[in-house]
This record gives sequence, structure tokens and C-alpha cells, in this order.
Amino acid sequence: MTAAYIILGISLVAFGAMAVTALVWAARAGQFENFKAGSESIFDSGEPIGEPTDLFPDVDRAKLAAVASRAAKGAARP
Amino acid sequence: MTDNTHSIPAGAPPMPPASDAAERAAIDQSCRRPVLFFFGSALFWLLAGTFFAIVTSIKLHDPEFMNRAPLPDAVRFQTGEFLRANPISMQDVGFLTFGRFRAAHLNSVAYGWATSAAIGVGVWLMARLCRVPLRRPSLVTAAGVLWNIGIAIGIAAILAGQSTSVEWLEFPPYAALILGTAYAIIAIWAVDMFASRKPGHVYVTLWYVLAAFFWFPWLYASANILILLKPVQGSVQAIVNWWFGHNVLGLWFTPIGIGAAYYMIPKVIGRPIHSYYLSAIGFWSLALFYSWNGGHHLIGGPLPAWVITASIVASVMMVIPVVVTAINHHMTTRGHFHMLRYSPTLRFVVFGAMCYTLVSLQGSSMAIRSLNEITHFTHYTIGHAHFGLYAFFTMIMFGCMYYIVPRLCGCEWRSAYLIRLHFWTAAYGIAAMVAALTIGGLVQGLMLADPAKDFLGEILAITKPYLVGRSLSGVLLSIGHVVFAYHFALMVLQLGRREGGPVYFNPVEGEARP
Amino acid sequence: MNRMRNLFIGFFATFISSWLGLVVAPHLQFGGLKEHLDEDENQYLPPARTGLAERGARVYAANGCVYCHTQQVRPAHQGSDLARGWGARRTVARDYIHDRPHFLGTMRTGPDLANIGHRQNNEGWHHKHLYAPQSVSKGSIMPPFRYLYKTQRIVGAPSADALQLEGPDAPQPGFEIVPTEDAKALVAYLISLNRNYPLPEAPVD
Repeated sequence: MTAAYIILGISLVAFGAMAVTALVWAARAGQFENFKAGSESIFDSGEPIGEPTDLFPDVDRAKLAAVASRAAKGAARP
Repeated sequence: MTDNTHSIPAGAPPMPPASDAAERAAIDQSCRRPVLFFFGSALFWLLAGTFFAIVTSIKLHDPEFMNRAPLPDAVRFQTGEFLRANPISMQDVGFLTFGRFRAAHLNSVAYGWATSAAIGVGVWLMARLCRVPLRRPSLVTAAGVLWNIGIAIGIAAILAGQSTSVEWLEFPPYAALILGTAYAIIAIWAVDMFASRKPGHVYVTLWYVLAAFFWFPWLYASANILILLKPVQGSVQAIVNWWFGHNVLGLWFTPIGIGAAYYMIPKVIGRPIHSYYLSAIGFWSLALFYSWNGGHHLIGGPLPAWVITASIVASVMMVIPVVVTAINHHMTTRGHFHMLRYSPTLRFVVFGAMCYTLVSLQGSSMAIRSLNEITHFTHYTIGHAHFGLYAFFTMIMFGCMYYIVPRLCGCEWRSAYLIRLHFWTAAYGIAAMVAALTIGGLVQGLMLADPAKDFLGEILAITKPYLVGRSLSGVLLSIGHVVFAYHFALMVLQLGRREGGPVYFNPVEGEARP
Repeated sequence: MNRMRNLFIGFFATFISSWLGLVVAPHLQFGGLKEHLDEDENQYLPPARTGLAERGARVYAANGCVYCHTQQVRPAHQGSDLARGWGARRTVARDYIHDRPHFLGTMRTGPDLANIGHRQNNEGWHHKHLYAPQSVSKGSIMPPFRYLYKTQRIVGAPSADALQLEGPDAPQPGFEIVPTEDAKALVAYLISLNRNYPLPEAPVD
């Protein structure tokens, strides 16, 4: 019983310390800055932002582009 | 590059510069053999698991199902006059019994289907996000072969009567050892892959995938050792059992599913994730709270109050990562919902991501003592499990496969009709199943709570129609599985479309393919 | 390389917290529970199982009984378990020290079996129930376990342990249905399930 509380106590302290360390590291390493670059890291010149990469095999791309530009106008409105 | 988020160029996309596209095509090609192997075997076990499921489900409302037919001659071991007097039927063999088929179902879908699919998707995501071709692809394939051998042995052992009956750990230790070895190879490979990544940002999906590859072997080894190989005291086994059982979902399937959604949704739409900051919070709160959830399976059980209470608190805290993820996915998709009509991947993945929110909130509520008192030990819990593993996880895996397979096979899906058929049978099927089990479970739980209600005459009788409903919804799901497996086989056999239709992948065919 | 190390420390830390809390701590707290010596009755509780009943537990596992039957009685404020007569008291950790593996279960398609040996200790009833469930529990959806029994020609006097079956379940004249060793072990195990004895932490009132 006592042993259980001791190990719980130790684990809480150890866990807390590790969590703080991880947080401090993350802040220092710039994980909390430059989120924009992070979120854009999956795009490149071959598959740029703004271009869908998956469609049903029977979709007419010109028709989709028309729908998409209408939707984009709607979304861009503040 | 950043200010045209909302505009999609009309007409054909501009021819991309060769470098990035060629690099990506080369990475995809390096995954071809191992990932297709994992996907193919996953689909095999999905079909097997579906068969076990249908039989199990029917046996629950018709216990004589598959018992009536006489055995084929080859199996008859007594002949002549004796047999005429005592026709031997299928109920004279043990492997067809409900209790073994149910375990065979769970293990084929959890380890054969879901885990194989998760490894396949995880491997591909690692290669894409590390931005290097797959290292040691033959090692990954070898691990896949070993994994399948382990599952085949395990399922055979269960049917032969060697199940341990420890939920989620039914495979006898010798089969578990093979699975553990195969998985350890994958985990070590993942660390090696991550270490050799191209410098640059570590995208959030990679955190999820890497963490999942790291957590699962530890979970699996711990649980097998403490329950089966060197068993601890009985009620401690129970908490270890559910620490494991819930973490298979929470720390293995969920991170792979959510991680894949964090990649697929932005990638398919062509728009960065709404808030990268929220995704980081979501990851760490998931890791912390989900891992403590297991005890809520033992509310009222023979365990100290502090274990149960800690798990209830953690289960309720799960609202944080879930809501964070839901907001993030919704805001990313906002303004692009029309894409659900045009992209199979997005359709499946968004369906799964929405179900993730719903099923997680349902799970948090089920941990609250007063509701748990009713839903514990009923079909409601089974409905919840299918909601999570199918409506959330399996749908996301289907979506990922629709994206990945054409890029590995170099051809486009043959038929849009078959994709739509697959989606609607899966969506309606799982919705019907969850509804039947949830309502049936509530009725069952409310009646169980009233000691005046007779167990056999009243409770069983009233739940039977819901169990029939579950079997019917299972038939719908099976149709979708067969359709998808057929479509997948066409792709692997290189019978997909080669011209016409959008070909967004592999833009520099001759240059990149080996 | 630095980033990788830190990421792994994070994975490790979050995971080990639950491992310590839900695996190690419960084990340290009550993993070493021993039998309780009841001085009035001069016996150890829970009583050790016989070899046959222990073998029956294997049969119980092999055939997946646990998927429909729990073996845990919740306290009075949590569900109707006590009111249904499934036990004289809630079950506690010490009740399970002989279980390898545990069969606590999560589903009650059928009734709880924590104390089935107390409610029904007639071997003949259990055998009939396993062979043809509906013959003794009308409306039951339990699968029949006919493969745990064998049909044989009566040679000389009928066997003492032959099942007393009537109607469509009865064997042809001149034949009898007897339990296999597995069936006998399973019934011995079911009858051994009786956790209604008093423990210091769980008195029976």
C-alpha cells in the first residue's frame, strides 16, 4: 500500500519534470513559432496549396474548377 | 504560395517542375511492395473477419444457425447403421461455436485488418513525411509476412480451442510472440526511418505515427507478459487487460487514424491545416488522457476506487483533445465541403473524422458512473466499439487506401460507381449497426437495472429484434467489403484506368518509375 | 538528432505515467493478496480449486463463455446485481487470486456466473443445460455445446452419468449421451464458482 503511494508520488514528480522539460524544449526549439511554415510543410511546387490532389475517376475537372471558384468566393468573404 | 489558399486554377493544373514531383513519385514507388502487401493482407483478413462476424451475429439470435447442416462425408467419422440412427451434425464440432467465432472475428478485424491497414498507411506516411524513399523495404515486407503468419496461427488456435479468452489478447502466447516480433521489426524500422529523414519541419502527422509505432509494442508485450506468461493476481490482470484493450484503440488506432486525417484533409483539399497550434495541443492531451482511460471498463468491479476514479477523470478529460481535433478538422474543411462530392478520399476521411468526435464524446459520457450503470455489460458497449473501430478508424483507412493505392500502382481506380457503392454501403451499414446496438443496448440496460424484469423471458426476448437488425446491417457492410476488395484486386493486377480522368499523381511517369 | 530525442522523451513520459498508474501501482497495492484464514470454519478463503475444476476453467476459456457471462458482482449502489440474487455481497479483489487468467467479463448477454455454483449445484442440470440449453431454460439463446458430449451404444447397463434427456433431444433407443472429460471438468468448474463466503473486507450480512 505504502509502496503504491511512493511510486505514484515519484511517477507524478518524474512525469511533471519531464513534461516541463519537453515544454521548455519545444518552446526553445521553435515548435511554438512558425506554425504557418509547419502546416505548409506538406505542400511543394509539385502539389502547391490551392490545388486538390484527389478526385473520383469520373469527375470533370473543368466543372469542378468552376464549383471550386464559386465556393472560394463564398469562403473568402469576411 | 501562401496567399492563393482559396483559389483553384481552372482547367488542367500547370505542369509542375520535375524536381518535387519526381521526388515524391520516387518515394511512393519505394513503398509499393511493402505497403501493397500490408493492404492486400489487411483486406484478406477484413473479408475473413466479416465472415466470422456475420456467423457470430446470426448465432446470437438463432443459436442453431450452422448447427443443423450435416457434416460433409469427409468429416464423418462414424458410418453405417450407427450414423443412420444418430446423424452427426455441425454441432458436433467445436470450432463453429459462438464463443470461438466471436474471438476469431475480433482478432481478424483488430489485428488482421485494422492493424495491417494501419501499418501500411503508417509506413507510407513515414516515407512521405520524412521525404526520403523507404529504407529497407524488403525488411518491412518480411515483417508483414511474419505478421500474417502470426495471425493465421492465432486464428487457427482460437478455432481449435486454444483461446485464452482474455479480451483483445485471445491469441495463445506462441502466436502472440510471432506478432510481437513482427511488430518490433516495424518499430525499429520506424526509428531508423525517422533518424534518416530529410532535415526540416517534423509535421504533426509524423508525431502521431511515430508515437503509435513506439507505444504499441510496449503495450502488447506488457499485457501478454502480465496476463498470460507470468500472470499477476486476478483482479490486477483485469486492469492490465483494460489498460491494454483501451490503449490499442487509444494509443494505436486513434493516433494512426487522426494522424492520417491531419495529412489527408489538408493534402486533398490543398489547404494547410487550420491551426497547427491546436494540433500540437491535441496530440499531447490525447497521449496523456487516453492512456489512462482503461479503468472505465471495470466500474463497479473488484478494484480500488482510486484506479476507477482516475480512469473516469481521464475519460472525461478526453473531451479536450477531441474537441480540439474536431474544431481543427472542421475549420480546415470549411468552405471546401463541395470537395466531399468529388474526392473519395476526402469523403471517407471526413466521415471518419466526424465519427471520431461523436464516438469519443459518447465514450466520455459512458465513463460517468450513472450512465455506466445502465450501459455497462450491454450491447450499447458493443455498438460503441463498432462506432469507434469502424465508423471512425476503418473509414479513414478506406479513405487513405483510395489515395495511396493509385500512387503505388500507377493507375487510377477503375470505377467511380464502385467507390460510391462502397461508401454508401459502409456509411448506411455502420449507421444502422450502431443505431441497432445503441438502442437495443439502452433497452437491455434499463431492463437489467430493474430486478423485477425476468432475464430470459423479458430481457432476451426484447433485445432479439435489435440483434437481427445488427445482422442485416452486417450484410450491407459485407457487400461494401467485397466490392472494395474486388476493386483493389483490379488495381494490383494493373487493370486500373490509364487514360482519361484526372491523373494527379505520378506526373513524370517515365522519369521516376524504376 | 536533438529533436528526435526530445520527441521520444515526450512519448515515453506520457505513456509511462499510465503504465505506472494503471499497471505497476495496482500490482504493488494488491498484487500480493493472500488467502484469508477463516478461524471459525478453519478454512482458507477463497478456497483453492480442485484439479478437475481448474481444467474446467481451460474449457471455459477455450469456448468463449466469457463473451456472454461476467463473473463480478457490483455493489448495491451500482446496478441491480445484488437485487437479482447474483451474489450475497459485491466481489472484491481477493475473490480472484486463483484466477489465471481472469474471467471478469464485460458483457451480460447471459446472467452473471460469479456465484453460479451457489445458485445451481446440480451436475445433471448443468449437463442438460450445456447439451440443450432450451430444454432447461426456455427462451435461452445460449449455443448448444453438443460437441462436449458423445453418443454411444448402450452396452449392458446404461452409464450412471448418461444425460436424462426428453423429447427431440433424447437419443435413439439403445443409445445414450454421456459427458466427455471436458464437459465434466467444465461442470466441476461452474459448481466451484461460489464467492458468497464472508471476507474481512467484504462481510456477508
